[in-house]
Amino acid sequence: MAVPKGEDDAAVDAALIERYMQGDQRAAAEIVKRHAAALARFASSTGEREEIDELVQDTFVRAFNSLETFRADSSLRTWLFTILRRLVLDRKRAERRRGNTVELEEGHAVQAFDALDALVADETAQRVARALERLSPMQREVFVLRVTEGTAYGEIAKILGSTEGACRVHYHNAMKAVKEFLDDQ
Amino acid sequence: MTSECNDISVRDLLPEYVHDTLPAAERARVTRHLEACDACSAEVAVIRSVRSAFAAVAPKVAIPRIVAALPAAPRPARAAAPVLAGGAAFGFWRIAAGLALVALGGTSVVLARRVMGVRISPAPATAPAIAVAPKARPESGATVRQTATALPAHPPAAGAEEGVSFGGGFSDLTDDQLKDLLREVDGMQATPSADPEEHVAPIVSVPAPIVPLNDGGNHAW
Repeated sequence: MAVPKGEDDAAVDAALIERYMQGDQRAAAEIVKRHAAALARFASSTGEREEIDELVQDTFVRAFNSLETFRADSSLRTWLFTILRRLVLDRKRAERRRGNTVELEEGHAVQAFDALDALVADETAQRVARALERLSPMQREVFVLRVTEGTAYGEIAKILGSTEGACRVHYHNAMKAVKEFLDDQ
Repeated sequence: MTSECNDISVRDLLPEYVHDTLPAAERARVTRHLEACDACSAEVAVIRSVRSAFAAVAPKVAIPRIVAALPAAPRPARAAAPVLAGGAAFGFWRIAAGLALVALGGTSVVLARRVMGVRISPAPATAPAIAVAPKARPESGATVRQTATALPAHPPAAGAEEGVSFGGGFSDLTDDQLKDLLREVDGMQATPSADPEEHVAPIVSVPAPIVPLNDGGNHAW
């Protein structure tokens, strides 16, 4: 019987963490290689356009500084996403305090997400980007994690501090909205 | 526009189907469902489009720079144990060496004081002590203790008055003894030999309170 990829990934991550804790710095490089791109994608889905590289780096630095607190009840990638999301929220709160208003809450008409629209030249990708712009931040985060990373609802709920049921509802509503937008184009 | 599929159990698996993370049996089940369901097929198409869009704009991250910013890997616990054990062992030997040095130093001070006292003591009592002192070693505590306790055992009172004055002892010699002493002194080489044994024997045999110094008698008179 084939081992599900998620379980396989968790085993690989656990082995790498063990090697790192035993003093193998190369294991840290392997961990970064495995998750950096996914973190960057997730960062861009939150509306971050600049300093994504720095954001991903800060995420890893913070994670490795508290790696002994990591518990395997969720995957390493889920934990990294959680750290990154907190960093994003902290940054946006700081920007808001400085007067650079960035909408964070659900239901706001103005969305900060335009990273794809600004960067994608492909027509289909641009239409996807516009479809995602119409989603609420929570719908978009759930949708992106589910579609681009294949993250399970339970893991998404941990990352976003929500429930599995709520995430499932957000995903299906987002999927319906995106499909309708793409069909109307 | 396609209507939604009511088979939630399959719809929930579509992202995993696209990511190819399903077990074989479930993947086969989803494949069969997709052949008959336009709504789910359309949903799979959306998932693939979104994935492609994100792949196209995925920000490049400088992995070497991130790795360089990471904290150094912690020292392994297994490697730390021998270091601690070695350090503890090294510390033990340092303490032992320190105690040996203190014992040696203390013994040297005691012996030096005894030697100074011996120089004003009668010759028969001091000669053995002088011979023992250079051989005392720090690891032989018994020898050191024996030497230290043996020295006070000599009756100082008996020779104390005799030895108060270095030159006064000659006044107790008879004329014959003085003549013998002078003959022996005349017979000595002007330049001392490098071999201390030749000088120690005649000097110790002199019944005067003159005691050879603790240099093996290698000195001129």
